[in-house]
Amino acid sequence: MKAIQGYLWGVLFMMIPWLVQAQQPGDSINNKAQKRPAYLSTAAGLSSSVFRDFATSPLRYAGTPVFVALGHMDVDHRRQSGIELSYTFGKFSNDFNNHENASKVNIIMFNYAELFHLKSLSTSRLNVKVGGQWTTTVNLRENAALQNNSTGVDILSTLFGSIKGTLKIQDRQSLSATFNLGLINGAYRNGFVYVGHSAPTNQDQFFDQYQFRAFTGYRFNTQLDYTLYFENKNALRFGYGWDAFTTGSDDQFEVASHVFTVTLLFNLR
Amino acid sequence: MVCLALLSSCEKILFENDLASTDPQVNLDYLWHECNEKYSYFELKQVDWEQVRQAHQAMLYPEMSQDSLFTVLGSMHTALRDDHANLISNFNISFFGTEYLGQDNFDWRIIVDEYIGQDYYITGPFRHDFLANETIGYVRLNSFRGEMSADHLDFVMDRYADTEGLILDLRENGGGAIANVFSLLSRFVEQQTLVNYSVIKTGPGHNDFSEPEPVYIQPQNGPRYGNKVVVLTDRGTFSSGSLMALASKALPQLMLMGDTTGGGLGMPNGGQLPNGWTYRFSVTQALTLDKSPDYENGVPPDVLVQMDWNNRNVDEILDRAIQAFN
Repeated sequence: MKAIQGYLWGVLFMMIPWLVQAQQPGDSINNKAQKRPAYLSTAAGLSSSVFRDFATSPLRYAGTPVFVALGHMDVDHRRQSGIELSYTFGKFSNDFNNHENASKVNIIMFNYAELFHLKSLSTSRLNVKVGGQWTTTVNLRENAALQNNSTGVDILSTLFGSIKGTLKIQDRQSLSATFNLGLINGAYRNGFVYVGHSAPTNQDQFFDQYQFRAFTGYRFNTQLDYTLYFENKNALRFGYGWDAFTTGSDDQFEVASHVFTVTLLFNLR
Repeated sequence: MVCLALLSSCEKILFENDLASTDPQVNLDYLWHECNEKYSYFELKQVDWEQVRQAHQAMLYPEMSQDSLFTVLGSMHTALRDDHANLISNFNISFFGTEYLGQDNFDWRIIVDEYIGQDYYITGPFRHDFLANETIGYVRLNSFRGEMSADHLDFVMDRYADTEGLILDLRENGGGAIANVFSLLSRFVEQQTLVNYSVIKTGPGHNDFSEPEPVYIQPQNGPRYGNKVVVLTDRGTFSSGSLMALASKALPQLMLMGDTTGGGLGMPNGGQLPNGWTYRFSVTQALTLDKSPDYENGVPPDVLVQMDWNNRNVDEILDRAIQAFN
């Protein structure tokens, strides 16, 4: 029962961004008859990342995984709503003291953001929005050298406070900077010995020893984007993102990533 | 570039310092601390872990070579007297050697030359054939590693379905996948059967364990064997092999014969030291039906039999097993 509850917690955490999006107020909430411009985004890029999982190793593993993402955004000068699903995958390694060990990493991330115009800080060229973002990250690692601890699955969910400034450079070019500060961090991680009890008990419950911790650790990220809009209202965006988090506690899991992306934005209306 | 530099500096502030180190004291402390909090058999094995630490710390010196450091840390790890406690580097692996606690009790060549011949069957991990005018089936399983599929088990169970008994030879079976143990056991039960209990470390105290979880075997939806089974074991029967022996104690149709197993009933974890070496040690306990952890020191046979190496044409343990069906 405990394992089922734990599993449901993990699934619920992953689904929160989607559930919130599904319950988002409809068009009736918009003051104006005209709808906000909407974009479908596809992104690809490379990341330079480092992680360390104290549950299994005191060493830092570094890699340059590939990043891909699909998103949807409604945005005008008053409000921005967006949702994104990204997938990062690659090999991380550590070769300290001539002992090379590698970890295959797969990361799935859900983002949902709502930002609102902040008049007091905005000018005719600078648009400042504030709001929040919810991010859920599923981090899957495989490191055969760690034997029965070779598989690590960690689910992290964070509610951020966000601020974004967009500077209109020229007619169809803009620079934007977003800063997200984690306000509520939750982590769903394996228990004290970081290995499940299902194998020796002949059960099929991967999450049986998993524990949920709320208000643990911290997370920050930033995003810098240069966007070039075309006449057909589509756009091309070059971005740099930095994300850093730790889960807190003695066996904490910490990650820092620098992600460089190219995004195609397809205007939907 | 300024942003990159600034944000990288933030990482240094936010995260713990780099702990990679070849310093002997740092690595001893790390290994000792991990074991101290997570190893599951201190009390049963009566290991004074603090005393072990002091004794091995005295052997350290700053300029010692990697090989020398491995000798010291490997010795400390071996003090747990557990072949699930291993230190692994790219030049050596430490081990305790439970198989050497008793005499050698198995030689496959004797089985082939004197009992089953060279045309035995190989079905997945099993080597097998008939004995005693096809009244007994002999099934050798030297490891629980690798694939043990339902098809493999179906064939073996079918082939010996009409025999009076089965001999399952687990001598020098060093273990492998726990799931394979349960797959094999499922061929010897007709209803859900409780075979043992298990606990896992839940905190840093030496006695911080979960509540005992029952371990059940469900009968397989396929050919099962209902006659008497003699399971052969020796000191080289370890880990999953030992778990099979432990579970056999709960099944009336199974009898253990040979020597005490090598133990290894705790499931090992896996981790890494600051110098890049990896390690493992037991973090669970497998308990008997009366919730005792004692069989970690070896599951005793129901019938104790040893090989007599003065006569290399006879496997006394196998002979005794064949007699058990007469």
